[in-house]
Amino acid sequence: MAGEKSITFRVRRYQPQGTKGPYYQDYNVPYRDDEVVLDGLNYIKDQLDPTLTFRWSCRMGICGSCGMDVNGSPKLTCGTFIRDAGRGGVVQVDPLTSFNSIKDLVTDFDPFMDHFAHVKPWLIREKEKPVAQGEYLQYPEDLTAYRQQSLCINCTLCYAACPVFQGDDRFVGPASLAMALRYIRDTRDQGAEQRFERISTEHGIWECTFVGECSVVCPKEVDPAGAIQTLKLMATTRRMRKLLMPKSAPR
Amino acid sequence: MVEVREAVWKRHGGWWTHNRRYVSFMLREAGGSLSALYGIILLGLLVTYSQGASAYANYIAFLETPAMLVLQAVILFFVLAHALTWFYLIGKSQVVMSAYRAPPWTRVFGLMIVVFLAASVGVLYIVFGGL
Repeated sequence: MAGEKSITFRVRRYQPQGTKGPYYQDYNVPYRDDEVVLDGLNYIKDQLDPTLTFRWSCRMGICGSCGMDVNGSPKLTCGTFIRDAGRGGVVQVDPLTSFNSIKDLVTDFDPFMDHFAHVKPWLIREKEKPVAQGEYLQYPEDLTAYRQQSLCINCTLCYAACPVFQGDDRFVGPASLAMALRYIRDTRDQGAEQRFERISTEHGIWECTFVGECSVVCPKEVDPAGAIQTLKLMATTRRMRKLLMPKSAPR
Repeated sequence: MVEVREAVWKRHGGWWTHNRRYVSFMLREAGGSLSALYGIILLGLLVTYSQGASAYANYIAFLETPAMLVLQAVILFFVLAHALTWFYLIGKSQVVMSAYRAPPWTRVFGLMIVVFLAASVGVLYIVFGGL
């Protein structure tokens, strides 16, 4: 990384074993126009300060590991160019908000995983058919129905952008609820009733105030905000149907 | 098992003022509350109307005072912001599905604007002597 230009990286540091709380540390980083914020962090790690800690893996927007707040906005650092992020000659990098920092830019993922598991993100069958009878088949339009939500990479940028989750971490949250819709819309799944029992609650879909920022920051265009509004409509329809036509099919 | 000491990391107060979409959301929410306030003002018309011509005329005169006119102008601004930002979101919420596809949000937004204008013209026509 031997660019002609240089820029200041202002990185939020935190050492759990240290005596002081979080603080900012500045690094002077050379860069080229084709380099991203993650390249800058790796330059710091390799050349300036090996103690800096952050998550990353694929460098191509697939793994969802390198999500951080860049100048106050949740971003995948592997997809954010330094030339675009440098505001006033400074690229400020913080851990994703809404989650506690374990060390430097690494956040505690456990609360998200708890919310994610809460919506039962797997296929639920009332009775599995024998393997000998083959796989469960779908038409292409069946796949289209849930494909958008299935693209989620669990980067949690949407949680960092969500002011509702910011104020109340009991909120199930955007990515988890989008994943609930993904399975509810899957024609192979029969667990919609179980999921609606868990998500049509005060801290589920009804806590969402539809700010919409989760869909703006989503790097895979999953549109969690749209998914949650769709779930609200589905939950209401199911509720009314139970009241007015109690003997009709639940799905 | 070693207990990990974590640092709580939340946005600072007033963080939402740095993002125009968050500001738009706050305007929308404030517009909802002010819409309810304007509903109460309109209900005052009904209440005073039931109390007789004099009470109704006094209430109209009260609504025409400079302070109330300013208040109503502010409410109008927020209600318009509320309506337009909702129209902007309706198409994105994708609750209207056709063959597993939602129409483009721009089309829904345009349709809502047309309906909004048509309803406004209809109300103005009724209020200002059309009927």
